[in-house]
Amino acid sequence: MSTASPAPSVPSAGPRAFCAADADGGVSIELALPEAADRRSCLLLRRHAKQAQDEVRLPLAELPGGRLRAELPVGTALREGRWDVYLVLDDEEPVRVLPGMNDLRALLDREAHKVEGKLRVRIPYPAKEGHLAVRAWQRGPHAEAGELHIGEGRLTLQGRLLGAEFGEEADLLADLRGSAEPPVTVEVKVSGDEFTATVPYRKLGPGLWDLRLRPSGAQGPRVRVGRLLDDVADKKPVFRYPSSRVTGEYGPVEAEPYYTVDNDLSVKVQACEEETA
Amino acid sequence: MSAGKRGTWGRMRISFLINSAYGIGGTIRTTFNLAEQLAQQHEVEVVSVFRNRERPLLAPDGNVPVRYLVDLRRQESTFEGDDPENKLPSRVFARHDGAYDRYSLLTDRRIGAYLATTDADVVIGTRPGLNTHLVRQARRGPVLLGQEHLTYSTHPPRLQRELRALYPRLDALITVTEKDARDYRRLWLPGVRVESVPNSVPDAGLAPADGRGKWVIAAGRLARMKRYDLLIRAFAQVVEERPDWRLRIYGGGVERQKLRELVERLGLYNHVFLMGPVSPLEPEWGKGAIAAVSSSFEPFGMTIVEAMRAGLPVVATDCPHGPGEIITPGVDGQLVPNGDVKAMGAALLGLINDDEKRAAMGRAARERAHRYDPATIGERYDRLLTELVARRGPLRSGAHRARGALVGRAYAARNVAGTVRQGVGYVKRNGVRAAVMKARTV
Repeated sequence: MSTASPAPSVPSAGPRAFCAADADGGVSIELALPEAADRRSCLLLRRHAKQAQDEVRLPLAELPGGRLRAELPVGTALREGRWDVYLVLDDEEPVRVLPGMNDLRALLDREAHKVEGKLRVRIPYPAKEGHLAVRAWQRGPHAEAGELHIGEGRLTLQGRLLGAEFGEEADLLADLRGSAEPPVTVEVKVSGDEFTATVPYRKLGPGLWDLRLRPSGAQGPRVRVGRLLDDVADKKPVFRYPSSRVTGEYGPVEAEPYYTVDNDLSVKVQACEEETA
Repeated sequence: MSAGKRGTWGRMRISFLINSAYGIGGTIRTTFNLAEQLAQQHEVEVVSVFRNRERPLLAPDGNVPVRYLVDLRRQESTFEGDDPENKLPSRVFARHDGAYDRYSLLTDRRIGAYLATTDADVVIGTRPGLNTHLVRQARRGPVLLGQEHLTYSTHPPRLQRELRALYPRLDALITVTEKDARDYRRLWLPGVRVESVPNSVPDAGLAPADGRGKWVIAAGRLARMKRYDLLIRAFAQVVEERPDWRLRIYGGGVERQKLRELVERLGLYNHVFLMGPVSPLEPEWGKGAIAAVSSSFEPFGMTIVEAMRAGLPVVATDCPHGPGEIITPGVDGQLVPNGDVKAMGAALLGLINDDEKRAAMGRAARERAHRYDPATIGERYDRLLTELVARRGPLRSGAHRARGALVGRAYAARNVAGTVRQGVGYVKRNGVRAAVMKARTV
């Protein structure tokens, strides 16, 4: 800008959607868009993906007052990932939708008691560029992490198993990511659908350790432990836990549980200097 | 003023001058709320000194035009932060306003050009440093209205002195609490209309909280002034008795790491969560059952009203000045002594342990938040601005500013003489008054 004359106004940036989540996992998306009356319209959900693109189209129903509403029922399958939301009018190019007031209170402390087959979770959120996106997971069975307790050189994890039942020999694995080493196995205490497991840090060497539950031991499936049942789209910066130092099988290390970008639970272990008294 | 009379004056052109319209914060939020309300009847613009984002986060739909004077978006080719004039100190912005370091010769020139050419009927400054730009650089004609979103009593004495010297040239000074307006009325600001008008808070159009979620919600910048350390300590007391309740603190800021360490040290990492900055914030209140404000200083307290709108009772420290003018203890919330951890914990437990009281206070809070409806607050501003524009005129405007300049100089002289403490210079004040009366007849 070479003169003192102010720059032009910032233009308004696109249609705005108001999302409301229900406790069953469905989401309704509403737009105030009088200009769309009597036009063919739908919402297009497009998954962030490097290769093949997934797309889902949701019809928009006209409501009184120039509003449009789309439903994303729990029965609609969305692959795990981040889905951008677009509005499509007639044959025009899809335009990205902006997030409005998202009412996600039903997602908070979600119980999700009855999960038949897959657990489906959708959390609308403002994507990095400021547009509306939906994070989706569908998992069955699923191991939901609850409270974590950091003790003297160990992590005690409380959780709940959804979409499956515990067998006789349930255990929990800590898998070193990117390594063919056999995982560290710890025992699991089970009470109904709830479980508790303690991971001793002294058994873990430097690296990232992914936690998986085996509800029926070696015979059955491996279920990634994660945290999905609330309104927080990205757990990593919100759920933070203390790190602890321990000297174990791999020398002195510092370990800290954390949630990955996919909201799964892992333990980060780093080698550190021996502590001097 | 009757509707008919207002009609004869018709539409006003109103221009808000703000540090940055592109961030998140109480002043930005309330400026857009007011601007959008006034825009229903008048021509309104928001002039942002700085632009540091693509879009204004708190007014993303552009109902009110926003323009900027200096582009600080580093990744853009229009970035002006490296302009040599941007490295030279400002001569216009109040030297002791906390934002002084962000201002420069470049902002002096840009703001000066805007104020010298604006066709607005009313120019509204939104912080002390910008109010001093108004009185020093605005052309004759527009009504100059300074807003105080902080408080006089908490300004550093050197800033107080600067303001006493410059504010006499304003046409009106609007505070957000009555207590602060009283402090300003105690200064000598002849002909300056000093009034308090609280911030408005719009209804987000969301269903009220059902009060069943066992969550306490707080929101604000993670700054020392907000005393979230106190809230976290108080919450340790809550968890001891009610481990089924948890606390969410929304907002970002410099204290984040320290607060996180405190949460870990107290072993509260399953109960207290630092949620980070969220926009819009309004839907978050509905997830809670109680709102908490632990600030040591809260000039107004937008979040208190927002929480009340969502149907949450508010437990707040009785700090200067906002909470005490918004909350009625025992009716829609509780006030606890400023800085008192135990009292904060006890007040939270009091509401946590009494479902009926909590529900009743939540309903009362929602009802009593209507005082801050944008329509109500906008109407008060509308009336005030209409009156100010009506009594203006180039002559009056010029005479008032000349007198204001003299009063200001007299203050400055008094400062130099060392009698800077308030209430000391009564005799001198009368001396100054005489000098000014003489000047007006010249």
